[in-house]
Amino acid sequence: MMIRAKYTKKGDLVYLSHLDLVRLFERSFRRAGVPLAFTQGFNPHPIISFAAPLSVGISSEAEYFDVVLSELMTAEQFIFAMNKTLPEDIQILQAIQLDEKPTNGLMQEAALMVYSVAFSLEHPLQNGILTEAIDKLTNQSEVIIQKKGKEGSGKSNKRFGKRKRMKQVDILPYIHAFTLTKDEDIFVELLLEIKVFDQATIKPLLIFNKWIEMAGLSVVSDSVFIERKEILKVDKDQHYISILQSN
Amino acid sequence: MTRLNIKSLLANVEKPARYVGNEINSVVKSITDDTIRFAWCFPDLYEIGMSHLGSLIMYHLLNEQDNIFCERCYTPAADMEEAMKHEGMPLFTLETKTPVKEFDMIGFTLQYELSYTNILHMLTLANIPLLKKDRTKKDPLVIFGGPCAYNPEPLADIADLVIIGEAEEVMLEVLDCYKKHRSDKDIFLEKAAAIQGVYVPSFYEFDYKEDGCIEAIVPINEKTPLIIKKRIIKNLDESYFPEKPLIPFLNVVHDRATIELFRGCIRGCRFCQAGIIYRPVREKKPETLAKTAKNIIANTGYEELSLTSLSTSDYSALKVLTEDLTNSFAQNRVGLSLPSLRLDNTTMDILKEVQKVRKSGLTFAPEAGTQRLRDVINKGITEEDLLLAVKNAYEAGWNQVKLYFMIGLPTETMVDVEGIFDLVVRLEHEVYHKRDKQHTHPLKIGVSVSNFVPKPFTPFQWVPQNSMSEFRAKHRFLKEKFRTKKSIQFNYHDADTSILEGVFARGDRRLSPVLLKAYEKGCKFDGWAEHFKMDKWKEAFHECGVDMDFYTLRERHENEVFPWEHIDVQVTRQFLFREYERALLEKTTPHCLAQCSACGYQQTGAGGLCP
Ligand code: SF4
Repeated sequence: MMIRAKYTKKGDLVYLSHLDLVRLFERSFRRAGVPLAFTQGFNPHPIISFAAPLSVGISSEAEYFDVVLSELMTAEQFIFAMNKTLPEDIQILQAIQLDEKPTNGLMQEAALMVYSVAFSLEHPLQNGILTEAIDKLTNQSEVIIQKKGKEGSGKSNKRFGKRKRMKQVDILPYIHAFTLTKDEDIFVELLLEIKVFDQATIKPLLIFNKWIEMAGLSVVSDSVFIERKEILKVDKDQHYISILQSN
Repeated sequence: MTRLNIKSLLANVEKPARYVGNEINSVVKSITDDTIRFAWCFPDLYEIGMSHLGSLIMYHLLNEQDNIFCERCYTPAADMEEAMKHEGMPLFTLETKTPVKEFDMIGFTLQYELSYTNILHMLTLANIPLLKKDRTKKDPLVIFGGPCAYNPEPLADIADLVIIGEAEEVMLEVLDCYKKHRSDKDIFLEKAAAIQGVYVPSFYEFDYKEDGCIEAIVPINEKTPLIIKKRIIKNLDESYFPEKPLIPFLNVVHDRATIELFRGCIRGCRFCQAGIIYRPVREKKPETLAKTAKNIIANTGYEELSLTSLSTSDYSALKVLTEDLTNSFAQNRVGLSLPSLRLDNTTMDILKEVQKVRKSGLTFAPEAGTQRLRDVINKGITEEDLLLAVKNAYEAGWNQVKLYFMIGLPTETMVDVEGIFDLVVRLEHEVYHKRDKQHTHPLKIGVSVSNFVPKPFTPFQWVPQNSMSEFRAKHRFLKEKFRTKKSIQFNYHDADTSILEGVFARGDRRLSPVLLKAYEKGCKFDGWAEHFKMDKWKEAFHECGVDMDFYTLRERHENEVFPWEHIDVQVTRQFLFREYERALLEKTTPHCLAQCSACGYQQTGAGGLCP
């Protein structure tokens, strides 16, 4: 059987890379006494898959993984055992049992990323300026940014690594929502909902930086705090719904 | 107490998790006026320091004590150093982000000579004066320990105090002494110097002869002991071992759980310092080890457990222990790794069982290419042993074998160097040309050649090291030979760093100024090829008027007073010289279980396996 779990990644643990996190979970399962199923072969691994990896340095209230168990365990037992051994900044919030592997992996299910972006302005601005700046961006016919592509297929060797080509992308099709949620003195918060197409998406920081640049805003350096709030999937009617909900 | 906010530093550095602490099972204590604050400093990157078992033991042992809080600190990488300098932030500990300068004591473990400049680097980043004589009452005490501390002389001007031997007991005694004499550093040092295993370099003066050799080592007053005897843990079985060890978040070099089967080694390889300084052999009971191992896995969730020692095949209960552990770990797929093996038949059988769970690469260390030279170094491996072991391993399904050799060993000629190539070729031939239809997978052979560095407290402490040109000629020769063998991966270690290591291994306190000079010139992370700057080192030696060759290329006289003469590892100089002479005669010496060769320990009644 399988467990699907929603968890947080906060505090100092935002600095863990995706691989660090995978290792952390694998070891936490063992500490918690979760009965794991393993892959075959000389180097057996637990069978675990994650929804969209999070960039290093970004905090999250809604990350997800699927893990295959060798014995039955209720969601409540799973949450209890795991949270006792996980660090404070990574805690399971919710879990459900899945009887069988979903036809699409967890990676493919992620369809919308919800972020909050908080930052401080160098100087307070007049009411309305920020909303205008948002509209200005979203009303363009296209907004092109430079983005690192997948590894190039060209010549490469071990020492110099593979070259990642820069490519040009229009960010507008990815933006599902871009709204101002707080504007008090110099303290600003945005809600940014970004779509995922075929596992490709745009990092919130890239959109944010482009917006700052277009609007000519001066932001206090190091004040930007991005947090993932939710990851959603689509149901048959193309509505965004929780990843924990059955289709 | 200061707690630094390091958030702004982390945004732009590689692997920020190196600096944030907070790992699972790490310790944070509340701090009162009575708390002795100890900063455990490892003079290398986090990934290296977090892989060191001794540091792990000491971290948890110190934190078990009521009034002691031990925190960790590693050398920041270049990008972090930049960021810290930019923000004017001093070196800080991982646990509470306190500046290292605010601690009572800071301890550095000396694992390899090439980390010495990193010690200066960390002190500098901490704003602590490098030289003992320049530090005031407000500065922390600087303590050294670890294997290189058996000859601590190159760091004599920097150290307040050096721990000679195994630290578990003596460290607590030192801290106890500190508790009583906290208000006066000088009195503390004087009292501490009376504890067995404690060396205070500033209490000794060195007289030199005209030829540069040491005339005498003189204690500065009658209260100072003439000889500093190393410390060992008599009953290792009852000694502290952490069952809830720190788990790094990052993928560190040795990213697995570890238990220690025994200390010491029965073998007596003549080039090996560990084999002498950790004498005598002291085993832990298999029941103790099994219990510890199971607790560690339960508390960490590691997928692999390493059973370490200097020669794991020599553990008397290896079969019982591995059976027990393999059975209890099978369900959770926890694998065992057995480093430092001799590949006799019993060991191979154990290995086959163990590696049913997870298979890792195999390593063999013949060290020398000819039987003659293996006899000289007392490495009791024959060519037949080796052929059989490799064949067995291959047939049992291993597809990767690594072979370790050394060049520059005493009495070595080009015949021995060529012998390395010949031996490897015969091994490959044996496996490939005798393989039957059942075994058709390829075998990857890796050959790794390092450069011999004569070390104190070994039978070879008298011998000259190879010169740069000798090393280079041998490297060229082997490289040329192996070029024709595409199937074999040949690697060799850079000669520059081995020579510098040779200078510091047998160096004296006249090297302290050179170390400072080299650091001033930008030398640090010398163990990392991409950071090593031989030209700067040469300049530093030159400007200090110190000759590297004096330390490396000189054959020492039988009775020469060595810089480590006042350190007693309880193995006699007579024994070491006897072994040196036997080496030159190409005579082997039996291991401790077969026959005691009266190295000196038999008289001390120190426990272990000795008569
Ligand atoms: S006293 Fe004998 S048995 Fe003990 S370490 Fe020395 S040689 Fe080996």
